[in-house]
Amino acid sequence: MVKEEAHTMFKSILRRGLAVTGALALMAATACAPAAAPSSAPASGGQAAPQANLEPYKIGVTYPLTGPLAAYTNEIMPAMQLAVEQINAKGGIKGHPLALVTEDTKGSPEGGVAAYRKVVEVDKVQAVMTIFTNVVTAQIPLADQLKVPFLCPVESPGLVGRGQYSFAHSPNFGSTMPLLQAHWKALGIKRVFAFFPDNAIGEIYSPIAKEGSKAIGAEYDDARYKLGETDYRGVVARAKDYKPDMILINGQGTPDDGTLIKQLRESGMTVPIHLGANVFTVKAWQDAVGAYADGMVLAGMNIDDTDPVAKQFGVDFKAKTGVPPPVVATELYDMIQMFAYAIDKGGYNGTAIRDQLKQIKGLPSVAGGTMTMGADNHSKPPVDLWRVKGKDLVRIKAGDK
Amino acid sequence: MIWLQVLVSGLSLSGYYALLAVGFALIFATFRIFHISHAVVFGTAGYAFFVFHRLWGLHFLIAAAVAVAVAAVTGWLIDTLLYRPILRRGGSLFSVFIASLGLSLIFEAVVLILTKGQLSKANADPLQIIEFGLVAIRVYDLAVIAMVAVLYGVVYTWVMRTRTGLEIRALSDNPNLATVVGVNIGRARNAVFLAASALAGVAGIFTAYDNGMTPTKGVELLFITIVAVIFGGTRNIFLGALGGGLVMGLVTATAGFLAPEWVLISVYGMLILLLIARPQGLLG
Repeated sequence: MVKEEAHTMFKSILRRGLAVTGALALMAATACAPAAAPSSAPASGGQAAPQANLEPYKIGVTYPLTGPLAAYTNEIMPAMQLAVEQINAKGGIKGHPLALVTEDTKGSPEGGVAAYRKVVEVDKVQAVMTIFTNVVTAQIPLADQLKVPFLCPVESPGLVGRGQYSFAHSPNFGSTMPLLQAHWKALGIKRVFAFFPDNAIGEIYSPIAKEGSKAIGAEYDDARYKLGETDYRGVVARAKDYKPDMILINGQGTPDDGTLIKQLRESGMTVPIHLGANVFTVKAWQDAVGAYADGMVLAGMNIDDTDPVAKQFGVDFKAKTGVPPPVVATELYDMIQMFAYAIDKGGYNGTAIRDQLKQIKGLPSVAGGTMTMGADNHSKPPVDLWRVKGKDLVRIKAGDK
Repeated sequence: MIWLQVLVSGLSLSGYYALLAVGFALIFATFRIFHISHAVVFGTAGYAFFVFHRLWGLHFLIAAAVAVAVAAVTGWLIDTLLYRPILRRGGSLFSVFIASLGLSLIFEAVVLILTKGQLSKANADPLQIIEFGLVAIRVYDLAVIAMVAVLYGVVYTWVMRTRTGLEIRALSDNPNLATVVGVNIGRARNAVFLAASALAGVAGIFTAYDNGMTPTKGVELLFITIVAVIFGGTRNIFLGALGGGLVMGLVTATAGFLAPEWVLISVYGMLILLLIARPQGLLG
């Protein structure tokens, strides 16, 4: 009996010991795992010719690494790393290598603010790359407060001009909307139904699309869709009930657009779908939309394949990632170049970088052409109308059917 | 005519809720366990199906069968390795509920790490539709409704016509008396968890195939399912789950049409009103 009791007690102690050990191991693993980004160490770009004993010039990257927006950003982020690698291969900036410090915003405004604070106050970066209107909107006042500028590829007109330290390099809905307007007018579109994400983008884009439609005498209605949802049949039914001549979708380039488009077509709607931005070149978007993309019209920029610099970028990007670069990858590459230029001219200081960014004029762009910062803190590449034909984009004119 | 379209969407959604609801209700009514980890079973099946069918290229039926088996075993393991030890050591049903909630949160976090929160969709091809005037019905939705009807029939027959079903009903009515008269609780318990989890697995497969899986999809659907169960009541598990699932499907589809941002408000608002007016649910 005593032996049995001892055996039972031993088993009990062993079980408890294992439980405690397991809990401690779990706690240790949790403490060691990064809370946000996989690594806040400098990206692979920081290991080339620059002098080993000079401090790297760090650029913060506040991007969604998890969540519904991550599919898009994971595909384009290698462009930043490529730019850093190529700059470092040429000796960095006055011998200092560039390094990227990444934090996960999860695609939310509060995540964006936390990530921005972290890279500036803890990692001491003097420049930040960020993305997505809903995140950027929250970061603008913080950038001004911390006096550290950011560059982003948002396409919301007038947004970055609200701050002193916020800049963008991208096409702009203010410049793509007139192209779409002209196309709708030429086609005789009378009823427009638009879809925008249920965040700051919708708030900014909806009035512009509404005014643009009214200006050509078309009636207008819109609906918002929540990113990360998988069932949009409710808003799709609203669009169907409206009986539009055309549907405009201006999402954030995420696979949610694909789900929405798929469910639009599955509801029996066959009207043309137009996009307010060139998200077609994002592979995750293409995979989500699939065959439904064919025939879509979009307004945006595209890479000039005849330009040797753009061509080489395409080769380098594909060598790094295995896929051709989406258009927005050129924007990210260009923005790193802008920061490199500004740091080289003004030094590694937030306000000095901001001052140099404002003066950028005629800087070569990897998409072809040059970049010039506008008075509204927005550098806008030229845009055009395109139609999806298979896996390619074909330039079209307003009214082309 | 647009309301017919909304009705069709609602009926399709009802199928998903009904599958989850009947399993959840079966577990709750029989063992009084608030099985939040039913969402884990749902999610596991959905992701398993995505991996087998989309990534590994297994035939749809084979991938589905394996995913359902994975779901059934997952549910059984949750009960065997988590719930039963807690109860054996004197833990209360509330402790079981907390453990179940904890497991569902861990599952979400792990899946988020593995998938980075990206949508995992098992089907990339367009779905066929049949049009009746202005109403378009997806063939897939018809298949879902038919499958739900068949599964309900199978589970109903099993519960009402078999010895194990008799034991389950006995445990549901009076667990103490059932034990006294010699009902094999262990066998009944295994059967309930396996069956309920298999049904959740089927719902997971449907979701993964159609709209795709996200880390939070299971919990999102389960909370609406719980409302469906409470709505329908647990006196009659099948009618209650089916009725509650139908109501929730129509409510979410209608709210999604009228004001998408009000879907959850509509669902939980209805629940509160029902609990005030008829706390035992529609069918008791």
